[in-house]
Amino acid sequence: MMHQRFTRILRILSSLVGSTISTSTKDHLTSKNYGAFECLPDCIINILSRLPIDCTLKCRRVCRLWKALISSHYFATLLHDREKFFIQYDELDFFVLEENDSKQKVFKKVSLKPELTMRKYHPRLLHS
Amino acid sequence: MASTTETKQKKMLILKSADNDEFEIEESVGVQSETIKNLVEDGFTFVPLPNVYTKALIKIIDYLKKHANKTDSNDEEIKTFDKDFVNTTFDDLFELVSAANYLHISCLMNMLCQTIADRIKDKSPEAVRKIFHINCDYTPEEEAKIRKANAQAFEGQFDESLD
Repeated sequence: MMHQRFTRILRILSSLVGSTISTSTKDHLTSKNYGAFECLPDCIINILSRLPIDCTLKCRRVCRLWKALISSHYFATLLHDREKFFIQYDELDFFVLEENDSKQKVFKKVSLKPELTMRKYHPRLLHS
Repeated sequence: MASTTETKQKKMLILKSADNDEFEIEESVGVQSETIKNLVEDGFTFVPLPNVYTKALIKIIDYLKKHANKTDSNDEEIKTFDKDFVNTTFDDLFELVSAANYLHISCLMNMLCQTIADRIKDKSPEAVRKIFHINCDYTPEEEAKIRKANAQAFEGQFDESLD
């Protein structure tokens, strides 16, 4: 009787130890709420800042953390380093500074309100 | 003079991964990583890397070796190597990014982040969430609201695949 109880405790213990080992080695990237890079917002920002602007805006839908990162000051400075600007005009309209096909810097208006603007861009030449 | 360069070339480092595997590499290869370089400058030859797992470390050592011998002539070869290097699953890429971030190898970091960005740029937010293993923490009402605001703008443009 005593022996049975002991082996049961042992089995529970070993399963517990087993589970902690597997979370620390295999699932160290995937186990948490914010998934890969939970502890490395730098990496997420680095990736997001390389996306085209409309895609960055879409990524705000992913989760609260990403939305906060995209709205952060650091993110804006990184975009500035990559010579991209984006200025939030109101909830749904953005101005974006990007290079066009002939390598000129233009302001693009990106709107998330398609029924009003039909996603039409209004490029304006800033400097060449 | 020749003998000094020879001893310099032979100087070896030992890297220890988080799984306790040890790798011996030449110092000239290792110092491409800022983290290792700082340790080497402080006189260490044994470098424990508690945040880098064996699988990622093997790939990174391959990368460093290839890039250590960079000359004008093998430029094409390195480009093909890089292409193969990033042609892997998202989970492997994430593992490599956290390793490269810890080791401060900026050229590798740039390449990996650009690859990930290029591969997720046409994906839907749902697919991105699955790829990054993120649980959505918006309430259903909030999500419906954002979705409604964005729906018409982006409808039908997304790639839902996870690779």
